[in-house]
Order: sequence, then C-alpha cells, then structure tokens
Amino acid sequence: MKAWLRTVWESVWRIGWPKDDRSAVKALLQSLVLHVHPPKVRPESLKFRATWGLGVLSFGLLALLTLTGIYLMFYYIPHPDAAWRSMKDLAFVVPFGVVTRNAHRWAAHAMVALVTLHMLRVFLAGGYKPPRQANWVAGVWLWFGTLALSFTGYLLPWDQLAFWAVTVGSNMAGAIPGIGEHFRVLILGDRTVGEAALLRFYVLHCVALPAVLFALVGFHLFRVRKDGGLVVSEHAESAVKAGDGPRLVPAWPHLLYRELVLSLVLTAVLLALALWVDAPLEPEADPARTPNPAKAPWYFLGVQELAHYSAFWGGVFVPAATVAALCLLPYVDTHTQGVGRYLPPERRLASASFGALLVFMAVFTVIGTLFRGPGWALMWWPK
Amino acid sequence: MASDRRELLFKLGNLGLLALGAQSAWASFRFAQAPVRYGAPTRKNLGPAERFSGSGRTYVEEAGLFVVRDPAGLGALSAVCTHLGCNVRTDLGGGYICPCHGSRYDAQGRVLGGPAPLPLVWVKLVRDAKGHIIADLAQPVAASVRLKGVPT
Repeated sequence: MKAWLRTVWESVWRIGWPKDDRSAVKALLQSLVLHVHPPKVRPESLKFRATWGLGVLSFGLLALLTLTGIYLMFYYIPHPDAAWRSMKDLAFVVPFGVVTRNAHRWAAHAMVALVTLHMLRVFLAGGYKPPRQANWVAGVWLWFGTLALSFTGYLLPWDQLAFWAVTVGSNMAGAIPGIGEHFRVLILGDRTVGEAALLRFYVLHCVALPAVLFALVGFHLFRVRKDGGLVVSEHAESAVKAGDGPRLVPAWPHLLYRELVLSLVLTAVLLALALWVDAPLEPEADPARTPNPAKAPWYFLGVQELAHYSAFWGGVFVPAATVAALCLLPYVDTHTQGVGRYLPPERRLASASFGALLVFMAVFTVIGTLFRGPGWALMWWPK
Repeated sequence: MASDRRELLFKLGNLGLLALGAQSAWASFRFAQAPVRYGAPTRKNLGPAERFSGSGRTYVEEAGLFVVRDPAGLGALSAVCTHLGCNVRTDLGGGYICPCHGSRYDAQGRVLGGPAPLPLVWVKLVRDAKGHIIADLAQPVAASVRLKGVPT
C-alpha cells in the first residue's frame, strides 16, 4: 500500500524533495512553475538591497488580490439596486466578509505603491537598458494595468465616493479632443454613470483586465530570466565571466526560501492590517448629491489636483505623456555606463530627471490629499 | 519565379489577416457602442407649480437642477458642473460652487473662477396639462428665458 502511494506521488512530482544542489537544480527544471527561475543565480542578486523584494511582493499582492477577489465575487451583485447592499451583506452577515473585503482593499492600495516603487528601483539601477527594453515597456503597462484595475474596482462598492470619483474620471476621458465623448460612452455604455457603467466596470475588473495582466506578468517574468536575470554592474558581470567572481548559487533553496519568507511576511502584514483597519464604505451612491469635497483615491489625487487647473492638460495630457515618455525611455536613453548600481555618477541626468518627475507627482498628490478642502479650496491646515 | 510567387502569396495572406484584424477591431468597437441606453429620461417632472411659489432658489434633487424664481418668472439652471460633471451647490454670495475642483459661478451661471470652461446650462421649462412643471435637460435655453404666468 505504501509503495503504491509512493508511485502515485512520484508520478506527479517525478523527483522527490532535493537532497543536494544537483537534485535541487533538477527539481527546479522539472517544475512548470518553479522553472520561471534560472537554476542558478548570482549571490549579488540575492542581496535584499538588489531588489528590496519589490517584484516578488507585487506578484504576491496580485495573487492575494486574485484570491480575495474571487471570494468577493460570490457575494457581489453588479447592479445599482444591489451592489451597495451586497457590500453591507459582506460587512454584517457573511462570516469573514469584512476581513476579505479589507484585505482586498488594502492589497490594492499596497500594489499600486509597490509596483510604483518597483519601477523606481528598476529605473535607478538602469534595468531598462539593452537588452531589457521590451521588458521595461511591459512593466510600464503592468503599472498602467494596476491603476486601471484600481480605477474599475473603485466603482464596484457603489458608494458616494465610487460614483463621483468615476463621474469625474470618465468626464476627464471625455476631455480628450475629438474622440473624447465617444470614448466616454464606450467605457460607460451610457451618457452618465449607471447600470451599464457598473456592469462594464465589473467585467473589466474581474475578467478582461486580470486576463491581460496575467498574460503580461507571464511575459515579464519569462523575460527577466531570458534577459539574464537582474541587471548587475559591469564590474560584477566581468568578474563572473572571468571566473574569479563569487560562484553562482542554486536557486533552490537560496532564491526560493527568500521568496517564501517575503510572501509569508506579506501575507501576515496584510492579514493584520485587514483585521485591524476597516475599508471605508460611504453612503450609497446618490447621483443627485455630490459629496464635498469629492476626492479620488490617494494615487489619483495628483491627477485630480492637475485637473483642477485644466481638465484636458491635467487630466489627459500629463498622464498620457507620462506613460508615453516611460515607454520611449529605453529607446532614447541607451548608454550602458553605470548600470546595476544605484545613483551612479554616470547616470546623474537620468536620475535627476526621474527624481524631478517623482517630486512633481508627489507634490501634487500631497496637495490634493492633504491641503484641499470643501470646494477644492486650499486649506493650510490638513484635516 | 516560384519564390517570387510564394512571397506575393505571403504578402497577400498578411494583408488578408490585417484586414480581418481591422474588421474585428471595428466590429468590437461598434459592439461596445451601446445603442440601447437605460439612462434616466431627460424630461423631468418637477411637480406642481405651487412647489416653486416662494421666491429664490429651490434645488430639485431628482432632476439635478436649481429652479430660480425672479420677477420675470421661473428659470431652471442645471447643477451639472461644466468641468467634470459634479453637482454644484449654492454658495453664500448667491452664486454656485463645485465641490470637486472648486469652479465658481455667479447667480446667472457665468464662470467666476476655477477650471470650468463654460457657464452652467439653463434648460427649458414648460407646464403640462395638470399644471406640473416639466424640465427638459436636453434643451438648453438662453439665461434670460423664463416660464411666465406661474402663480406666486
């Protein structure tokens, strides 16, 4: 009997738990999932400061969001008459409904933050330089996809914040010259935010955008490996080639255990947050009454602050130009000096201009978040 | 010769695929255009005329507009901000202010400040057979147009 169970087990896993480096490499290459990792990695790439774990954490959040999202879908009804009520059901009736919704909300906020920091980290290390250009562009679209998922998810609770944030957001899309109104009707399915818009956002949020994101993540991870892993400094690269650098170490256990620990810490932190802090839910959406002030989530407040000056320039031009510039970056800045290190003197201009963009975004986000009160008036004392 | 012919056929094949792709994209776009709209009707019954017998402004929540009474009669000013579509509120000075991005309008709906590109829209009012006031949000009128003969 025991021997029979063993044959079943081995028919699935082929290779047992690895006992040495050699069988670890073999086990990794035999696995569908694990062989996104190279069998051996540079010890330099395993240091925490090489990545700060940002990519793994972003991926972990995506996994947790997918899981909690599927759970929420069992109770959520995408119709204006029922959506807000199903939020209340989750809050008061469904066992662990509050924790599930909280986890989903906080993971979404964290993912926006970590994906942005991940992009910053890769920029500072020059990770977009040849041969990694296409993977940087994929990363830019993953960042954009993360924001699009946040925006579509924002409408679903159908509370006041949701309704008015999306009214403002879709009217910004309407400010695109020429095609704006068509585009607005395309995403809303109507002239105003209502039944059709809720259904469209639901399908985009739960099916269409995740499908695109998963495909892009697959490409992204595959290319990290195919482009030679993390970008490292020329010095370390040539040392490895000459054979006098540190020896490569097997990914199992050195990389896998680090990823496992990071994922566990992430899950623990998110769970703690979800248990202690409740996701806000405002009164049910009321198309007749705009809350004062009506604010988007924090990561869109920079754009909302800009839109306060001009719907087209602030709400359409600046965001579109930012995405376009990020996509073009690896094809314009092609010098390879100083890559693999943070803030090298050779890349002073690149670091400074990216820093300036970041400061610009941060300043407007902080103004929009803290210093804007009722009627979007400046208030010098944040609430 | 043979390879020329093959290349031409490949090119034609690629063109065919391109046409198929373009056609599918166009069809998808048309599919998503939503010819059927269940949005609220633009004609709103604001109730009996007596509702607006007092002087000054009344906010009609279900229609999203302010009904203004002045000596000339009744006028209706849409509350939808021309910047990004939030509903404006009355301010202390007799004008209007938008809670979303701070656009300010005077009592006539003219822009005083903020990002709004256009004045607030005055819409047409009529009285039906029962004496109810009907507003048509889809019919803009000049700021001076008033519905006359409504009892005060």
